[in-house]
Amino acid sequence: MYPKVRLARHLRIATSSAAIALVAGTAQADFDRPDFNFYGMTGAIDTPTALSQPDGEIAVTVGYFGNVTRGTLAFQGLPAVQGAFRYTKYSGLNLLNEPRYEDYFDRSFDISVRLLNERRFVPALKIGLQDFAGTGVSSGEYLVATKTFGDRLAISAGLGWGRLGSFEPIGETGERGPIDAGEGGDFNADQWFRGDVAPFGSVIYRATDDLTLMAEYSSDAYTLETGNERPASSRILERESSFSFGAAYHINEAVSLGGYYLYGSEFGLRLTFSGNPYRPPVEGSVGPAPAPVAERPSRATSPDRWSQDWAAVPRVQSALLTALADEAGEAGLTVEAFEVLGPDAVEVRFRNPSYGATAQAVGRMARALTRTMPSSVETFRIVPSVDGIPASAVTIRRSDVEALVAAPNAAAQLRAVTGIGNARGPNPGATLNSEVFPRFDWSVGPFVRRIFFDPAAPLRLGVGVRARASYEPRPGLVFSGSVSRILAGNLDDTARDSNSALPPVRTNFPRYNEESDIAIDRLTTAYYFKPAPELYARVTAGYLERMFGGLSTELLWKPVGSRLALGAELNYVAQRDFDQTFGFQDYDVATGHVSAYYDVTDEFNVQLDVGRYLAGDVGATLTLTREFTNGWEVGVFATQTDVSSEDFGEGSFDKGINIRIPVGWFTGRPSGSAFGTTIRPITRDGGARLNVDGRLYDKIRDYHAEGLDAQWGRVWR
Amino acid sequence: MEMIATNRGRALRAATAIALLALAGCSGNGSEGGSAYAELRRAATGFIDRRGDATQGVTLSDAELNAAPVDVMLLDIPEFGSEVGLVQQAVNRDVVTWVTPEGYSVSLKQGQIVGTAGFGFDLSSADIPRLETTGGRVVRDHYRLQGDETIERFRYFCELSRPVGEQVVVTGRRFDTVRVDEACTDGQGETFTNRYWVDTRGVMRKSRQFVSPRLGYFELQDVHGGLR
Repeated sequence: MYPKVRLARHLRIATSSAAIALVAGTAQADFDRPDFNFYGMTGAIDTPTALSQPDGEIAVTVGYFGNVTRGTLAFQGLPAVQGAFRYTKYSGLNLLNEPRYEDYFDRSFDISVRLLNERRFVPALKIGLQDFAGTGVSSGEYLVATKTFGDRLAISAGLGWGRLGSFEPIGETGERGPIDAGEGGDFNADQWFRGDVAPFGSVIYRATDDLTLMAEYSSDAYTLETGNERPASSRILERESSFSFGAAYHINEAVSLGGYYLYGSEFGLRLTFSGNPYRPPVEGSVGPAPAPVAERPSRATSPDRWSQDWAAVPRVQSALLTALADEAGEAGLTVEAFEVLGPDAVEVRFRNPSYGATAQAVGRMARALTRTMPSSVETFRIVPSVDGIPASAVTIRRSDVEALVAAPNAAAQLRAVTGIGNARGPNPGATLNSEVFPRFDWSVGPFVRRIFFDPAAPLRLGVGVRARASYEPRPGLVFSGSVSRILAGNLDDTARDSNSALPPVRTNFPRYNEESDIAIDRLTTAYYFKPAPELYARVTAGYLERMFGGLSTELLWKPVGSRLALGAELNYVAQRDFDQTFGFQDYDVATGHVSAYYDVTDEFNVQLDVGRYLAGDVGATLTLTREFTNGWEVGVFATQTDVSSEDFGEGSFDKGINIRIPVGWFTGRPSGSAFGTTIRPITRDGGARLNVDGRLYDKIRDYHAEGLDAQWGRVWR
Repeated sequence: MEMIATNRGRALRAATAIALLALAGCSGNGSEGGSAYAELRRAATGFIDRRGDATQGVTLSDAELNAAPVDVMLLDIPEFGSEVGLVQQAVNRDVVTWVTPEGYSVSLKQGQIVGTAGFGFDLSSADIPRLETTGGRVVRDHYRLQGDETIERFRYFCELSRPVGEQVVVTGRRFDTVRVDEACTDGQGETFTNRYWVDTRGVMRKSRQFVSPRLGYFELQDVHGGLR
């Protein structure tokens, strides 16, 4: 048998090449995945088209020509809707006419909506807003129609306003006054589709499956960049012609590169990375198969094996717990507590550090139970626990597991006979796993801190080392802390004192970066518990986050099968000293929110928080999140409070984007980790929330019906 | 700290930081750094390590395989040019699950594949036709997990050939078998042909069976079935 170890290696090559083959596969029929333009939106060269990306497509595009660099994150959030966030650098524009700010950086948001799908004699029609909420430097609106001819040719024609109506307009619609940028960031709705209107158009020809040729007539005069708009600004590009030409090449499934000759004078390059949550590198997962389901002996031939007498044996509960904990440990699960409910039923509480697909963890636990429980045990009550809170109770009959493990359509069949209900709160009859509790855990590792969009440097980074430890004497009671020290980077060059009209609850972040040596990131006592059947609760006290410490309490109502959840959070916190040791400043505030969460569909979640924010301002935050079954999330949020735009400062109100990508999506292997980040165009003090660890909603609902069902297809895996 | 030590040791600190990143940290539960980045890096490193030794096959001789202390099944995946030996992991009613040394599994019902796990692009489950009939039309359903995490059913309409006598050689041993071909189509252009060789003991001695578009065919040879 031994030489097979080498064979196995061979097989691994096979599976990883399967993954790579998928990434590298290039054949793309027709215009299913059209190219991106310099704005990082679906389009030709510098103008949009009415073509659309596949639903869920996420793309990062970097384009450069004529001293203008645009970096864009675009997301096809609905089959007909594409949104984008862009960061643009105008090198040497001198727009502000201030030393140190020769380059001008601008942030902008776009949105486009396809109004008509293409039909045989009708082109697709799309309406779009470009830079609709920024300082308006790139603002433009458009209507564009695209007709494809076969799978090779697409012709587009459109009308543009604003920037896209600036060259040789053919008419005008109302008055487009100068943009009153104010603090920027507000919607410029009174400008949209006003003023000069000019035509643009493009021809796209797919010479091969991987090579696309493009020609375009643009209605953008580049007034600002050619130095003709604001007297102080410099001329950074030449515009000799309205025609641009280019070619785009799909290097592989994920990367496309474009080279262009624009406006009769400028050469440009564009690089786009695109991916889709529903186009993973590996479908299903790579890695060892689960331990098999153990079949019970026949009751007729081995009646003694079906005896129920074992349940009366002293200490049998802890003996079974040990056996189950070993078996579950092999499967990557941690048994928290175990209880014999009777000779025919048992309940296990466990934690899942290994699987992003929660149904997979439940399936592995069911398998472990078949391998360890006496034959007379027929009912498995499987209770996933999150930080000591029992999140739900999944009830599965052992006979069903045995009957369905190799059945056709086994996952759906098992789901039909599985009950998902509320878990009990306390379980006084259970035996706690003494191998695990009291639990002590620690780690030391590097970390990276990022600051985006500083006017003088778009990305600031600090690398450092962080040590963490936690102690959990019994499930739900957690003492934990984290200390860190930044070792290198350019976080300390910002030196901007807060100019906020509000209490500087966030805008002093440069001082937190500069004035700390060894910083206590967090030092808290937390208690998580389940006070009633549909209620979950948290109390956290201590140094809650880098800038605030105090007391935080939260209560969540979420029935297991409900799309609606309601929550309340009350905090009393004081602002910490800049050195992030034990001291406080003399600013304190009672802050808190009531929240409603609703799963509109399986793929959309809405959250509304109403309450008082850190600076004492009162208002609401609306978050809309596109959720993919495999754990990808792309969300947008905006907060409006009783703070005026002037008092809020640059950006006018708080808004941003949340992104979460599970690690297992990339590797094809089970993993509970994810990359997550929140991108804000700017950090101000209005609409700021406490950054406390352990908020309940996202923890709990992965184990409720919709969370388990999202990846139920992996229950046997 | 940054304010105090602006000039001194900046390069040194950068070097230290890079070294720390390379070490990637450690933790109390024995795993090498729990961060998402560390995990992704490990996966990437693993991938690089695996490249470049793609020329091995089963290295045991036929005689050694025949004399193996436990039942062995040979699996060849032509799509990847790889061959591996399987041993029995479990029997659940009429389904036998075999595993590779890596722990990937292939489940067989009367010799037909009803599931695979661990390869990626796996066959989650299947509803398979009976082969006893002497030719004729049958239906076969394959269930596979898709990129959107749903399990989709793929229904194939298949034509079983009339059985023909044929000799096959498995690990040097010659067997009299009947060969049955099962030509399948999904009606939308996807086609495959499974081929089964069943010996006089009723053991599926050899087969070539379609698993999924990405994995292609699995070729199985039963070394010990019915011979102990």
